[in-house]
Parts: sequence; C-alpha cells; structure tokens
Amino acid sequence: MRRIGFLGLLVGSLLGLLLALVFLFLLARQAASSTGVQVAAPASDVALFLSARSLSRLASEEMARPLVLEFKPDGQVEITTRVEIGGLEPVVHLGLLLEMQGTQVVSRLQWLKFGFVALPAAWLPPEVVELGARPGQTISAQMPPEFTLAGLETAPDGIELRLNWIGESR
Amino acid sequence: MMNRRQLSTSDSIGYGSLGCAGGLLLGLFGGGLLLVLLSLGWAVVSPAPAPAPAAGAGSDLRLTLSEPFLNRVVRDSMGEAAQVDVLPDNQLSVSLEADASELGLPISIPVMALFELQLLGQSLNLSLVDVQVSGFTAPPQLLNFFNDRVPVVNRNLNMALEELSNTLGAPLVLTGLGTDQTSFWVEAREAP
Repeated sequence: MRRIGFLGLLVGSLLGLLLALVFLFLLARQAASSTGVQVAAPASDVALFLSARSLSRLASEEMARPLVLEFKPDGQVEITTRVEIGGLEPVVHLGLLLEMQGTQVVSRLQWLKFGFVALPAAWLPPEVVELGARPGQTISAQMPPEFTLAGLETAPDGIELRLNWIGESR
Repeated sequence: MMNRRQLSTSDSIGYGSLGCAGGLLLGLFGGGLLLVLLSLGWAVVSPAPAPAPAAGAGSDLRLTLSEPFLNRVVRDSMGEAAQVDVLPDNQLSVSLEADASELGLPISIPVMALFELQLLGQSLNLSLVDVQVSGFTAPPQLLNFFNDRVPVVNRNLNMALEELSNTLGAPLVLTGLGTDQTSFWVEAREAP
C-alpha cells in the first residue's frame, strides 16, 4: 500500500515538475512575444543615428553601473545589467518597448528575465515597471527645442531619430 | 476473502491517487520554486554585461540633413531667396537672384555658386569652388558676398557637431561625410 502511494507521489512530482517547466516556458514565450508596431517614418529634415555602443556608455554613466543596451527591430530594446536583490547581484535582462506617442518617445517595460525565468511586466512591482519609462523620458528631454520628433527606428546597431525643424526658438 | 481483495485494490487506487495528487502539488510548487532559485543562482554566476565591442567600420553617430532642411537654414541665414541643391561628390550648389545695383545695374541677375564639403582635420569645411553669373565668371563683389558668409556656415555646422558631442558626453572623431541627390550626411565615432 505504501509502495503504491510512494509511486504515485513520484509520478505526481515528475508531472508537477513538467507542468512547472511548461508554465515557465509559456511565460517566457509570452513575455518575449510582445512587439511594438513601428510606423514607417515619413521624410524628415534631420535624421540622427546613435549606436548601441554610445547609448550603452551613456546609460551606464547615468545609472552609475555597467549596462548594455541591445536594440532589435520594432522598437524593442533589451537592457542587461546587474541589480542587487537581497545581497545577491544577479544579471537581469529588461525588455523594453520604445515607441512614439505624438511627438514624444515613450518606453514601457515588457518583461524582466533572470537566468532562464522571464516574468511579464504585469507581475512586477510598480516601481520596477516605472523604471521602464525612464529611457523614453531621457530621450524626450534631450530633444532640441528647435526640432520635433517625426519618427523613430531601432535596428541591431542602434537607434535612428528623425526630426523635423520647427524653427529657431533661442 | 473476495471482499478483502476488493478492499485491497480500492485502497491501492486510493493511496496511489493521493500520492499522485500530493506529488503533483509538490512538483508544481516545489519544482517551480526550485527552478526559480536555480535560475536566480544561474543569473548570479552569469558574467557581468560586457561592454559592446569597439565600433570597427561602423560609426557611433550619423547626422543626415535633407535638402529641404538645408534650404530653410540657408534662406534663414542668408536672408535671400536662395535655392540649395545637394549634388553627389560632396558638392552643393546655391542659386540665387542677386541684386546688381552694387554693380550699377538696376536688375537682378541669376547667380550660381558651387561649394565643396570636406573634412579638414576634425572639422567640417565648406569651401567656395566656383561662382557663375549667367555662365560668366562672377565679379569680385559677388565672390566676396559668398566668401563672407562661408565662415558663418562652417562655424554653425561645427557648433552643431560640438553640441552633439556634448550631448553624448564624449569627444567625437569625424570619420566621413557624403552627399547624394537629396541629403548630406556626416559620420563620427567616439574618440577612444
């Protein structure tokens, strides 16, 4: 009797572990599948391309920690850095979506990944989600007042901002 | 005897089901927790994010100015109805109707000035190549008209690059420039 119960426990545990693995896999897939829609940028007065290398250096200086930015098509950005969690410093990957809202750049946190576990933004505390808005705010704040944003495009080597001149404001 | 055997079989199914249900819960929650902890451990021992490799052939910055934008800037700075045409081979032509009253003529004459863009050391340099007035070589007054304005354009171009360098927080090394039929661009990378 006990042997059959133990066997059941073993089979159940294996099934449970398998289900947990499937759940984590689906979670990671769902987190990674969120993509933005990039509107084809119209012809602009000025186009400014900035490399991922320069932006990584700038962001590292701003955040005072080593940080690597990787750009992908459709406004997706992956930020890799170490964060302190309970005395440990795991490498964390943050998936962000950069997009235009009117003439402003906005960024939204899509997912957070550590090791092989990815969590969607909806599962994360609000203060972490709010951090995802900072890159967009920083880009918008750097925009010269004489220009307005007409388009934004991300590619593996960096980001291109397309600007229209609205005139001298100095 | 028969009842005892039936009882024994149903007990086995009961124990087995109970064990299976317990195992399922244990596997789901315990396994999930174990996987999360393993993942966290993996993330802790993972190498720190490596800085991006130094840009080889690629540039860190590329600024492209369109012909319509250049036209607006030139019109604003010259205060004349000037037309800029971006030409291949790093050349620009500026056409305008010049007032010939300084030459003693009460008319406007079409003037076309050809400029060349070059990298001179670490600065952009626009230089006057030729000025034509209806196909003839321009008088010195007209040459002065353009030559007087070229340093201002050069200063503005290089100031824009300096502002970009300040925004990036790193000195820039100009690596190239180019033109096509519709735009002019300049490329730079961060100084090592």
